[in-house]
Amino acid sequence: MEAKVDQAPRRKWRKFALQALAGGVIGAGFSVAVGELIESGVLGAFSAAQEAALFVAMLYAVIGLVVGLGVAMPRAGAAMLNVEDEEELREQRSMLGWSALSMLLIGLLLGVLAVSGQGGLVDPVLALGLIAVGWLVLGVLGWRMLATLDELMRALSRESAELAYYLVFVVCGGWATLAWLGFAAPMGMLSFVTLCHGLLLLACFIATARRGMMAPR
Amino acid sequence: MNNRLKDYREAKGWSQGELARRLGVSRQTINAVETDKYDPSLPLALRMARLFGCAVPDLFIDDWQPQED
Repeated sequence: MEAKVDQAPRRKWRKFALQALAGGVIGAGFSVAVGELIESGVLGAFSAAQEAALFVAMLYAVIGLVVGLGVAMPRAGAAMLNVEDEEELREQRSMLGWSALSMLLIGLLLGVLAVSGQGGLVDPVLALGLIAVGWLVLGVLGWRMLATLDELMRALSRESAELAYYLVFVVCGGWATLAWLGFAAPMGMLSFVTLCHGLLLLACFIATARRGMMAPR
Repeated sequence: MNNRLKDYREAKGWSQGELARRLGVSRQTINAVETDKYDPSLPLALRMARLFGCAVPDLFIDDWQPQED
């Protein structure tokens, strides 16, 4: 019994290290794939702002994909995601499912935006239509997801939004201030949208970590 | 805020999942409360106290003392 108690934290940390490693490998793999796709020129020439947008879009999509697969296959998901066991994934199925779908869609919409615009792969009118419909769907998904959130998740959601606001204020406001004073190049519109997405994701991670939800379980 | 939720839960022989189910919240919420990463709302604190048959101050410890007049 004693040996069991002693081994539990070690097992948790080993699982956590493997999850971090797997996450790193998956993230690096997709980053390399996106980088190769951009380098190949198959999709045309991209600016640095478009590449950054595609990278952030990929992050959203990969997180959505991994969480979605974890929910669809709880046994494998319990090994991949930071949960106690597969039963916890079943308990959280609807919340995580809606969340995964939303992440995937946000990634997809940012990706569409990145390859659109004047002279882009997707016609601006078509892109606008896709993005408008996509955000409407996201609104519905968010509404459905609200019903599945308990008070901790609602608090996390509020804290993430609050932190994201301050991050956008500091980063985008700081950049704009420097640009106005002539110390930096003006921020492109796509860069602004990318930063909003990236900083929201960062805020979510920070808020989650502050609530101890990134600790090994 | 420090709390004795884990002690009360273990005294009942419940897992975090079992307590979460009884309270209608996620396991993450129970875990966050037990590790002092989240202070529950007043309604949830009241529900916890009712479930364990104790008072809220028995579960949640606050060292604050009112100033004497």
